[in-house]
Amino acid sequence: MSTDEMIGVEELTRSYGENTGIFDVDLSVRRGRVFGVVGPNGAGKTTLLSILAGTRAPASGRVRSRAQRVLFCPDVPDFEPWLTAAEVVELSARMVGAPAGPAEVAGALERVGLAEAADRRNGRFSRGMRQRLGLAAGLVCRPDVLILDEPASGLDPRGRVDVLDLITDLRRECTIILASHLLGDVQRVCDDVAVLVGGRVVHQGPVADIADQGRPNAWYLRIRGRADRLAELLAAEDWVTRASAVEEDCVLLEAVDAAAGESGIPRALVEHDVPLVALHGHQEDLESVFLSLTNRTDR
Amino acid sequence: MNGALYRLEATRLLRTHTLLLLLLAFTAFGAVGPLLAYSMEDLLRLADPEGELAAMDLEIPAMTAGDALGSHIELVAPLGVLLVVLVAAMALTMDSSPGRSLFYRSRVPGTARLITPRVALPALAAVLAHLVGALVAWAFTALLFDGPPLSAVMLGALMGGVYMVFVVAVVALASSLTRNALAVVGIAVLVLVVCAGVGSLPFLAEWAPGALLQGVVLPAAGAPLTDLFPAVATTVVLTAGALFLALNRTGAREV
Repeated sequence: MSTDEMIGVEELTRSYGENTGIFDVDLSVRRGRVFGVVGPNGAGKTTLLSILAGTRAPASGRVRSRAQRVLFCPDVPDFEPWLTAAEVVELSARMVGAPAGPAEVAGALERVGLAEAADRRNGRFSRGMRQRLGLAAGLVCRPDVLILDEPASGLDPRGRVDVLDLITDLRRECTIILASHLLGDVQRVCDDVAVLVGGRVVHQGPVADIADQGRPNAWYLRIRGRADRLAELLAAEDWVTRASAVEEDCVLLEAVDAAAGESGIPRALVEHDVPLVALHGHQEDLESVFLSLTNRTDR
Repeated sequence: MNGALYRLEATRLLRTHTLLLLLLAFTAFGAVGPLLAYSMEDLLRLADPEGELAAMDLEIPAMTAGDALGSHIELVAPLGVLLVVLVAAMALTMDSSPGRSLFYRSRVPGTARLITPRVALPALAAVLAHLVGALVAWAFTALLFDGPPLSAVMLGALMGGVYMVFVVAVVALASSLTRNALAVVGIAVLVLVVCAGVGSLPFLAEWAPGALLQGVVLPAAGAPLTDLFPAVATTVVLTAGALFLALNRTGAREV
């Protein structure tokens, strides 16, 4: 266990049948980081989160943890409908043995934007409000690790931005493990990410590495003239791996490496006398990496 | 012991009005049972305006305090127990909602700490309601008939309270077998009906848990409450077994 690791798993397996569950999963989540878990439906995300939260047991492997308190906020939190929002938060704190006073309860509700609903019974709360309440009920417990399953899935755009900002703030207070289908959200708030496919980790590393995998080796060239003609000319170059017209005046060009493209593109345009209107690099994002990894595994 | 969970269950009983409902229902049984016994002759006359039954020269024995208290128990046994099953199921079916289940299970270590308040408070409410019902039944019986001593009736009612705890334990066991609230109620009622069926066999009657409800009636019949000791023993053992199994199975359940 490395010195900055807060929680991790080693060769974790829990099978629910062929390709259902998780298999030989190794993960390491560092203290104070926001760790994203992404994967298609049925990839084993909930199983992994449940084992980390201690509500399910692994068949084999082990969980390493320095955390005293690990809390799990499910995607659809549910509470006794006759409790007010403030009572839910207070109960949550009392259950973990860290009683919270009225100021702390009010503070937690304020942070998730539920201050005005503090004295309302939660039975009639919308899904989004319940998700916020679940978050407040987690925050008030001052957890070492907060596990969030789809924390923004039921929220309106404003609420989503607020919750993502809150998660970004929270990394100063605790370590967060976040599962989400919204890859843009994961890319925005997570420091590290693991991609789970068929119960196995197919990629793990800093999100920044994905967005910043060196310089781009693919570019969009917007030109004055016919893109299909230029694509044909470029495809004949030995440093080009792919060239195709994506619009009438735009070519997507992929080079063997970044350097070859950077020197080859200006030279080719001059040689073929093609006026350049705009040029920008095609950057890998989490979504494209995710799709590439899941497609590769599916095949 | 986590006081927060006991407070939660107390709040559930008060805020959902289940305690009030139990008390009102058992009070009503306590009043209606003796009144029915007292008015039996008039009721029969109303049901037989032509006097056909009277013409058959049937001998209807005069109603006694034992009949009055027995009439109360005849209402408690099916209706009161069903209410107790419903109240206990409300508290014990927390796993019917995964979101709610996770809220509790990820915060409270150990199933016993989680389940005990959910058994204890509904059981306490059921015992209290049964005692109040017995007190009301005794008061009406004393008013309308020559009632037995209050202390003996209440002691008998306490023995009936042991049966109420057993009923809650059966619900706890049922909730450990299935997550669906309706199925929990169904299984619990089925188990109680089977117990009542087994208890109707003459050689098992004195050992059956359901016999404990007769604790309210025995003093009026002049029988000692010690007659119920075999049933108390069976009920305590079955309750402990049901709770042990419930804790075991609920602890093994994953959410």
